[in-house]
Amino acid sequence: MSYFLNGFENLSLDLLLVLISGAMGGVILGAIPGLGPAIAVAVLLPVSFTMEPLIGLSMLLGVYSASVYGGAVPAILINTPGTAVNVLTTFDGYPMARRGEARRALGLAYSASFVGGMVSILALTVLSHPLARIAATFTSADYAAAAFLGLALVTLAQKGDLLAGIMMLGLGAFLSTIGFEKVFTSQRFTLDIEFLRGGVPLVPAVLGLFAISQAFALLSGQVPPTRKATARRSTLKELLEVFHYPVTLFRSSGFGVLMGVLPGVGEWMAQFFSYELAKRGSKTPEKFGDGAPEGLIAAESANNAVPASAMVPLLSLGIPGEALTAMMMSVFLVHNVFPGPTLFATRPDFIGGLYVSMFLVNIFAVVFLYLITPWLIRICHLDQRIIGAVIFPLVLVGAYSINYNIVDCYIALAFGLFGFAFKMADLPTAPILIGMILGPIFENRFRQAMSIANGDWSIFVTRPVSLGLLCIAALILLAYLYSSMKERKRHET
Amino acid sequence: MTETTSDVLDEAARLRERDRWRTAVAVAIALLCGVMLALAPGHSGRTPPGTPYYNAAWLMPVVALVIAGGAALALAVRGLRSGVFRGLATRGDTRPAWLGPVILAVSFGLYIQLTLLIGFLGASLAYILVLFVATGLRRWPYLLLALGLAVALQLIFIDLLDIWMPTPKVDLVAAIWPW
Repeated sequence: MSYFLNGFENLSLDLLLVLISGAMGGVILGAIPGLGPAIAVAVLLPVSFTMEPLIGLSMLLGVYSASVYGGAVPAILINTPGTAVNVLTTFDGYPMARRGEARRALGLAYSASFVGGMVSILALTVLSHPLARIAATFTSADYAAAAFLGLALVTLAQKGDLLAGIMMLGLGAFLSTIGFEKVFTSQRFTLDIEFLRGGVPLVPAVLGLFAISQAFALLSGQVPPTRKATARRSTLKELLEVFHYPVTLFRSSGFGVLMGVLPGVGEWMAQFFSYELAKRGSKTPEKFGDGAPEGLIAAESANNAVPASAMVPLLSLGIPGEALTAMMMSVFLVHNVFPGPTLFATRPDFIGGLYVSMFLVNIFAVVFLYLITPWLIRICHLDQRIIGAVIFPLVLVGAYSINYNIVDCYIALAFGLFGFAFKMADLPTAPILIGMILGPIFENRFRQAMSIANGDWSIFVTRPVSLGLLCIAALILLAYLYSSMKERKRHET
Repeated sequence: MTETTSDVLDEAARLRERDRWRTAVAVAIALLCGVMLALAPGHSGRTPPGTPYYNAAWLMPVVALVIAGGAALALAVRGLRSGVFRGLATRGDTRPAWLGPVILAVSFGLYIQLTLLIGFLGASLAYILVLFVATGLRRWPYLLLALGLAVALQLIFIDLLDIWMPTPKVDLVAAIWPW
């Protein structure tokens, strides 16, 4: 908590301006169907490289958190989620809007999002430092086990699509091995191609997979057009109504935090499980999907609880859990700031500043969202062809500015084509990115651990941390297999 | 909200299309992994003799390729067995979904080259205009919007954020506005 309080000392005018503009930009970008936090953060990555690490990261975190707020507006008013994580908001938000309760639904969504966001920041400030202190005692075997847990969870999160998850993760891990290999100083799979000697660059890959592929989809008519609607601001009574459902509100926020902290799980699973929990715990479960306020609260509080809590494993262990924190990691690395336990000791000002930034972004986002609601719905109707056309110059600047190398633009383009094919095939792209980030961490730590132990595999089960992490991975795998078997049996009957 | 027969048919067609893409992507990844595994002995880095297996440079890429290739192969076989490509050759009534992105990809490549030739502002203006016109945004407000967007991008990224772009071979701005 002391980091958080000290963080206010780092508050500068620059940081405040960046936070306000990040919150505003995030809300607007989140409200535009077809864009989302991943694309918004991807195209803004290079901009953040030109800024101070704290300011650049704060801007991206602002955009990330605020876009989830903004995504609720089109989900409620036009049944089109602004971002993928607002899908369940449509289930109850849109029926409420259709029966003339749009203002009430928006009020509930804003307040639930705000509470979810604040609970998540509290978790970030309380959990990160103790976890980092534990992580400071980690050995290579522990890190290898943590990376393995992350890889396993990302794969298992692709429920019902396990093979696709494994394929994409393996592909990402392979891509991460291309280029210079440090232990024996040799080249791997560069095939004598000059630009592959440095490896597959992460940021152009992110820009291609997330931004260019979406531009292709928008410009070739693969994204359906939106419906028309109008909206007015909610009253104070409607904003405070969320506290009539305290159990749903705080349980879903807590669940969102838990899902955020676990690598690979993310907003979608958080809101899905929270929604199911709220339904099971409700006195009127039959109203879910037909305009139940509890359903809306569960979905919105859970998905907004994820962004800050997803930073917990990144800050304390240096291990990103999902695509967006993987992008954040690249910002850290560009500025030679290495997330992990040492960051808490060497840069407490940075950590505190980050906490405060996330806290303020939530306030700015909800205030801005409330003020511009009547106009925001017009932005939701922005022609998708215009958005698609603007993405290309943004990618060009973004990919080029990292190394001032035009080849990076072509790499982004190639990944864009792959990303479009993955999109059409409904294959998850996040595992590729996680494979590219966690693959090298796992490989290096595994080699170190095995070398220390002279090839004795028991090093992974004699340390309490690595044993614990591997047990968690095994338990989750067993739970997954059990639920899959149960589902199969249900289908057969 | 009631589901009509046409909705159900649309959903079925969408799923069929998705399965075709999925199978094609899986076949491509399986082939890539197969080729890379075949190349592995000569291209998986230098591992000095006597190095234990856990420290070998080839271990991680080979394991990753086996995992990705195995999963891709399973997905490909599943798709091909269910006959997702059956009847595709005789369809021929619609433009394939991949054509649009391929044309866009080629155009993006040309845009990159144009940026090297005439600079970011001119190339972006030309490219956004072409995209607008090609996708049906042909009324003059859209053309003005394209101009506004190109200028805004130049001002934000190049002038305000000071992101350096390659010096154009032909300075179009200086040619038009020498002052």
